[in-house]
Amino acid sequence: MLQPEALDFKRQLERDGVPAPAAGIDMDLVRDCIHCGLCLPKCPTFRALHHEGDSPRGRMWQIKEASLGLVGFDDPRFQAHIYQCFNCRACETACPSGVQFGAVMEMARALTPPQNRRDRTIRALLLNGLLPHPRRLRIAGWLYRLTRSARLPALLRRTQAWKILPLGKFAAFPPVGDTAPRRPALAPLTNGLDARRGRVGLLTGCIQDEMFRGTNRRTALALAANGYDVVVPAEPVCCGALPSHAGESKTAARLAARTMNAFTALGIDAVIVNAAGCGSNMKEYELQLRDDPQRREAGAAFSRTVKDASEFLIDGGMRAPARRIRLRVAYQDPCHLVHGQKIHRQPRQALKLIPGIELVEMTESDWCCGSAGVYNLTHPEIAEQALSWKVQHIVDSGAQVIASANPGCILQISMGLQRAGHDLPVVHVMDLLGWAYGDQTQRPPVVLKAMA
Amino acid sequence: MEPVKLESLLRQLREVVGERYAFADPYEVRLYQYDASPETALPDIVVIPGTAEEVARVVKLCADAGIPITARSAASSLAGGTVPVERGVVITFARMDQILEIDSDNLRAVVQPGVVNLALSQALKPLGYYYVPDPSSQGACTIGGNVGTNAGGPHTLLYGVTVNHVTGLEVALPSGELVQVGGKKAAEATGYDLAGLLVGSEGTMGIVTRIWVKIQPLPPTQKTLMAVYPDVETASNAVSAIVRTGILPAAIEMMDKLSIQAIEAASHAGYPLDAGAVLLLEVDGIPELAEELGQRMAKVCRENGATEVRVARNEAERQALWKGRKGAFSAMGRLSSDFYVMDGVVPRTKLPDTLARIDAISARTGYRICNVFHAGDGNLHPLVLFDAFKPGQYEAVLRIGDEILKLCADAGGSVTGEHGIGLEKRENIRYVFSDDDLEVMDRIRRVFDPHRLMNPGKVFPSDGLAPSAHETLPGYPRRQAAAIGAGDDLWV
Repeated sequence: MLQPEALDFKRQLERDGVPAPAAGIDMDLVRDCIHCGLCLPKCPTFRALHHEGDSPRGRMWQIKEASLGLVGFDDPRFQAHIYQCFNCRACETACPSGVQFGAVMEMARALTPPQNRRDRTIRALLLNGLLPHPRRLRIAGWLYRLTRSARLPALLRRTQAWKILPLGKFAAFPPVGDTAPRRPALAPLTNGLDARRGRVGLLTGCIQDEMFRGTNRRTALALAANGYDVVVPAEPVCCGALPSHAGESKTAARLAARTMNAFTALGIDAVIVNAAGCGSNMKEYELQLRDDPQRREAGAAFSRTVKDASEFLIDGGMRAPARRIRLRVAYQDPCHLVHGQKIHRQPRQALKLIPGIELVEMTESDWCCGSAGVYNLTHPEIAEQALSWKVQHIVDSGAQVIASANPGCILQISMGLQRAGHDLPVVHVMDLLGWAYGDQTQRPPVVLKAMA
Repeated sequence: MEPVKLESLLRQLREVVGERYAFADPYEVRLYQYDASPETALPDIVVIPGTAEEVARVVKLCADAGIPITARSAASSLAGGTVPVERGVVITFARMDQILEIDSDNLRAVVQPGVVNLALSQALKPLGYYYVPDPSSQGACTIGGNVGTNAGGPHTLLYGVTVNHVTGLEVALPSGELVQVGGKKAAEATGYDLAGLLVGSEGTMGIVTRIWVKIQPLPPTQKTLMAVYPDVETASNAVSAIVRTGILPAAIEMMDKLSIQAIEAASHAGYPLDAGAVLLLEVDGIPELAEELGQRMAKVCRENGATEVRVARNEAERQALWKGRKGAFSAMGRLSSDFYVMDGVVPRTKLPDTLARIDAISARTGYRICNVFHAGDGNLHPLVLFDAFKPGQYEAVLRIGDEILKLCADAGGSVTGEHGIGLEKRENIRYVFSDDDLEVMDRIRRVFDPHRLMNPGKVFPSDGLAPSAHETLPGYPRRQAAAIGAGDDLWV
């Protein structure tokens, strides 16, 4: 285990010269990191694990050494540190050197499939087996709603069976959402109710569409209430965010191309996304399609039309809704919105425009909740640690309702709060907006009371 | 040291801190070979202790085995101070990051070494207090590291550096003792100021495990001004003019043209891209006073060649101006993949002349050099931009660094203001200290660390001490445990 003959980075390069970087690695992006360490205090896995290898700087260093062949991409220790990353990109916000950590991480992950069996199974089943297939997704969604309407969550909680079943905790503590099976999909066109301001496409998404169809409807309503015609692709599309963030670059590129085609056919001014992870991914299609110069260009052009729902509404001058909701709300920044898309102000402004809402700030609202795409499935222990910090900060904030803007975060935080015995609903910013614009479905009791 | 010896040390260390927190895996120790400087060196073992008692036991085990010990926490050090150049054990403070006590009535806080500088001020803010020294890396650097380097920061001009804000230390010594020097008391007027001696010793005497610091009430108002100048010379003269008024601002910072470009690319702080130099000034106090001082400063700036003076109108604007300055070093990553930052000091009156000379060096060698620095106290940070992957560049840059530090020393200044000597400037220290000076320093160090096991290879020149002290053998090291105990009094 001890290798006194090993050389440090500098001396090895002095002795052997600088090797050519590995194929698939953009060395300029890797070398943007000057290892100053300013990212360390913002990294959830460094806080949880205390190891430099699980800090952003440490991961950049490992990717640099792997790219130059000093350590192996297939080294299990390399893979462990690389896949232990949330890829929340909080380090990008902290980084004064402008390191594109998410992009570098995705390049590295594409070169090193995980060896951990749990990780591999989840990839095969979920990322490659389910998300890219609309029919399978529909069946999964139908099953999900069926179990909920059959009061399965209550049964799981009563029998404690959730503790042993895979995905049990998510099934036992589900968020406010669709419970009725066979709810019709979003109508392809929601006419702008007001003076027409434009025509936009809405990404209904994969998981979002199956689990939070009501949120999609309320997003469309908020857009319509602001004078936009809303259209959706005939066939629901998965934008490829989860595969891309997990380094499944082939699946990601295929889904990116499919998504671009679906929306380009609609003839729209902008593509509106209400899931932060999807929005962040769709704003980076240039990266997903980097292997194909022609499509890369088209990807960059497409990305410029992609807007997060709150970003689009607020930057376009959002109309304040009429209905009052007397609630104390805390906003949880989804990582892929605040760090991935640098959107911090707009969701808060949108909430503040709702009459009656008092916005409170929780500590570390921009820290990852541990959901992190499929991370809460692949690395539950570390994810649970991040979730426990989050739950504590939410409870301390005194909020009655938590608003966020990404299905993964909503599922995870909702589960964490309920399991800890806190009856605090976690909803989407667009849910609150939709209710304030007149939607009357799926309002949790505390919202009903606040609107009475 | 033969591998067997290290294996048995590792086993003992694991008994102290647990399996998970002591490791010698050749892959994992590679992650402790660097800091924010361009230097690298591999440790043999990394230990992540959780308590002061664990640190003391770790230090004793290493000292008894004759293994060098290097302390590290954020490793944001710019002078290679945490690079384990003589291998051995690296102790990191990632788990010792607790604020142990805040005693605002007595203006004191007690912290573990791994507490991030800014985290302390953030914890104090709701109570109306802050911890004054504010190195630019304060978002990441730790109080323990600040103590090691006697760190400064923009506001040291008025308020002093780390040593002026530390009243006590708990230190693990190679003997295995955990000793306390100083403490919470208002003033250590009695006896030797041992805490003052240990601050800035760069981990060469012992490992600090607990720190008593002064805190102070947040200034009621802070007025921050940005003054724009056509060139660094005019700006430098303006700094002298400001100081001549008899008013000492809390901070006077300067950035030259190249720095401004990097900073703007990184943080959009609002510095004008066409400026030759920008001064950032801050005054604080009760609102009436800060207002009056701010206006006077603005007037002096204008009278001394400023083409524009902008006063931050609110906290957001103030933060934007500071964010640009504080992120300046790292922002250089936008201009170049590597940089080498220096930390020279010159008398303030020598600023224009020194900067002109640095400019000439840049022109002669073809390497771009940016200047971003604490103008108020003449603490320069020339940054030489280079590409470490191009053969010969780093060596050329080291020669430039050497030339610049010589320049500073010749101007009556010093080779470091706040980053420490570390590994990087250990040869340059000769520009300010004679052999006799160094010998006296070494004797003092050996009162605490008789065998020079604590952060060896730092601070002192590589060839300047007793012959046995700095053998840098290839492979593993220097010192057999059996040698310890012999020749103790060679120097003392």
